Amino acid sequence: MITAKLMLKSHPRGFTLIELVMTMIIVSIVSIPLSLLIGAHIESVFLSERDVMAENLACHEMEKVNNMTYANIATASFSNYEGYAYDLTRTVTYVQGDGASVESLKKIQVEVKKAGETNVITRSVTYLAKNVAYGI
Amino acid sequence: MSFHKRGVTLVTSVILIVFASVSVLSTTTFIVQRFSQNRAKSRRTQSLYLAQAGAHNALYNFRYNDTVANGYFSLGQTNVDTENYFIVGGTDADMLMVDTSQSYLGGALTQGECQALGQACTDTCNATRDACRAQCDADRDACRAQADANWQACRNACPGGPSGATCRANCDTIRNAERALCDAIRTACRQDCDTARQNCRDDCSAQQDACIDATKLINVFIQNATNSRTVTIDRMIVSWQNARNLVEIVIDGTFVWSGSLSSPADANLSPNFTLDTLPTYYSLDYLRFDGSMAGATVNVQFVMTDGSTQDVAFFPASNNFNFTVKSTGKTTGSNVYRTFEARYNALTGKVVDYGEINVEITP
Repeated sequence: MITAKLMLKSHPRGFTLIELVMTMIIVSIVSIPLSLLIGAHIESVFLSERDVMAENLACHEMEKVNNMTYANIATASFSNYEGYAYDLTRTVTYVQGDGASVESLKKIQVEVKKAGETNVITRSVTYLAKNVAYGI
Repeated sequence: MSFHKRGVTLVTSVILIVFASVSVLSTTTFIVQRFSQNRAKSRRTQSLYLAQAGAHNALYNFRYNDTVANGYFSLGQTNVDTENYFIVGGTDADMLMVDTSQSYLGGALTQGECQALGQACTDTCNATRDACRAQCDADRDACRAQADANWQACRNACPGGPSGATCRANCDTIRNAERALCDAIRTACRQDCDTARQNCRDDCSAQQDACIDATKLINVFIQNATNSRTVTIDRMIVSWQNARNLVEIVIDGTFVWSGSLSSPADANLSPNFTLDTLPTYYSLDYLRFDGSMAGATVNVQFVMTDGSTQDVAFFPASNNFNFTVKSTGKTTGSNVYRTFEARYNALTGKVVDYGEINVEITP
C-alpha cells in the first residue's frame, strides 16, 4: 500500500495517456511516407530483377548473333525468349551494301520487352561486317 | 515504476522514429544506388556492342575500298542512331601497315637482274651442250661412214664365188666391230658434253649467288590504313643476330638514314618519313648492311612521331600487313564508355587479335 501511494505521488494522473496519444499521432504521421517508401522498395526489387533479366537476355542474343553465319543474321522475333517471360525482337538492316554485295555491313538491333507488353526494357545495337573472319 | 519520468514514452518513440527514418533513408540510398548501378551496367554492355560496331564499320570500309584501290578507313565519330554512337581512332603505329610478305635479300643488282644473268648463263650452257652433242653425232656418223667404206674395200678385196665367203664374213665382222666402236665413242662424247654442261651450270649458280650478295633487305612496302590523317615515322630500331652493321635506309627513293650501327641499330630518320592520306602504297626500298645477311633474322621497331611503336618481323618474309583499329562506344548523355580494338591482317583477311582496352578514343 505504501509503495502504491508513492507511485501515485510520483506519476501525475493521465500523463502517460497523453504521451501515448501524442506518440500515436507522430507515428501515424511518419508511417505514411514510411509505408510509401517500403512499397517503392518492394517495387524496385521487382523492377531491378526485370531490368537485369532483360539485359542478360539481350546480351545472350547478341553473343548468339556474333557467332552466327553472316548470311543467316536476319530479322526475327521470339516470344517467351529462351523460356523466360520476355519477348525479344532482333531487327537487321543493311547499313552498307545489300545481300548481293561483295562487301556489306549489317546493323543488328536487339530489343527486349516483358512478355505481352509494349514498353522496351533494354535495347542493344551493333554492326557486323561481311567476310570478317577471326584467326591467324 | 519509481524511475519513470515524464515524457519517457514520447522520447523513446521519437528516438525510434529517428532510427526508423535513418534506416529508411539508408535503404532508399541503397535502392537508388542499385538502380544507378544497374543502369550503368546496362550502358556498359550496350557501349561494348557499339564499340564492336565501330571496329566492324572500319573493317568494312577498309575491305570495300580495297576492292577498288588501296584499302583504308576513316577515323572519327559515327552516329548509329539518335542515342548511340562510336568513335574510331588509334595511334600512328596502329595505322602503319608494313607488307613484308615478299621481302628478300639482294645486292648491287636486284634479285631479278641477278636471276636474269644466271638464266642467260644457264642458257649458254645448254646451247653449248646441244652443239657438243650434235658434234658427237656428226663424229659418229663420219666414223660409221669410214667403217662402211672400209667394209666395202674389204669385200672388194675378197675373191668371188664360194671361196670368198669366209673373207666376206670377216669383212662383215670387222665392220660391225668398227660401227660398235663408233657408237661407244659417241656415247662417251655425249657424256662428256653433259658433264661439261653441269659444270657450266654450277658456275652460273655460283655467279648468281655472288651477284646476290645479300647485303640489302628489299621488297618491303608500307601504307597508311586511314585517309583521315597522315602518319609519320620518326625512327626505326633495327635488330638482327650477326656482326654486320646497318649502313643505309632508303624509303620511296629518299635516303632517310645512313651511318654504321651494330644491332640493335637506332636509326633516327632524317628527314622523317610521312605516309599520306590517299593512302599510297610506298616502297621501303632497302635496308643496306655492310656484309651478307644470309641466314639472319631482321626485326624492325617503327617509332612514330606521336611516340607509338610497332614491331615488325622484316626477314624472312612473313604475312605481315596489319593495322589496328580502336573504337569507343558511348550513349548520348552518359559518361560510360567501352573500347574495343581489333588487329586486322589485310593479306589473310582475318582479325588476328581483338579484345577490350581501358582507353577512351576521343574524336
